[in-house]
Amino acid sequence: MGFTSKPVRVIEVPEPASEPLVAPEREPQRTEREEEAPVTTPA
Amino acid sequence: MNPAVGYRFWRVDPDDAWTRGRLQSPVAETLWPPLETLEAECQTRPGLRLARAGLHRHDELRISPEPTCSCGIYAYHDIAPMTRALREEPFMFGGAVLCWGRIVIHPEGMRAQHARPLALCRPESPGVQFRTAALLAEVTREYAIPLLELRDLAAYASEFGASYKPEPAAPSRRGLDRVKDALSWRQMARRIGKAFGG
Repeated sequence: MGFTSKPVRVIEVPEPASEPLVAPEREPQRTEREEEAPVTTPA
Repeated sequence: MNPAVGYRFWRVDPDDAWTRGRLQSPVAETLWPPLETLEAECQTRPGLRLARAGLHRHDELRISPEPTCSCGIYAYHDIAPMTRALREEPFMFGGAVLCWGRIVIHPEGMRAQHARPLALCRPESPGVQFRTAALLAEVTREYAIPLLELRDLAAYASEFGASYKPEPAAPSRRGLDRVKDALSWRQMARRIGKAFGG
């Protein structure tokens, strides 16, 4: 894939707020950051 | 502002045990992570097709895509250029993507900072459908995306975002003036006169 023409403009689009309409059939893998998150205990 | 919807194609190599079932960008050879967002990274290097001055590659303050570079996650505004490319290779599959972050808009498509696949489309040829059915089922399961008929792809994708295809540029005033000039009675009379040796 490639474009032969020059760019016409640049935009900044925020991250989509909603999740995809089709739900994943399996649990997403946990990220490293999630695994490292400290466990908080109720006071 | 809504996320941008685009159309692109990926290679899925059925014989590669490492990449099997994964969508791969055909030019940069980036593997798209299932169920995650792909983030653009400038990989321009000498010898990479389409590479254009990736001088910002090691500059941490500048993000990809850079308007003056050729980096970013590519997608077309329309389905037609995607389907043309699909006829060239047997294990190339088309689909829709959702893009956001910084987006560099070109007349024929866009280069995005973030993207994720929305859906794949079923190959048009019955023969290709038969040969790739199991592989496509594996890919769509891996990415948790639907496999749609080509005619349904745009309607489905439009549920998630918008097209940022630019309006075609209006012809310049100078160009219009030239046309008017060429068609003016005076010009025609002059040409006829010249043709008859006047």
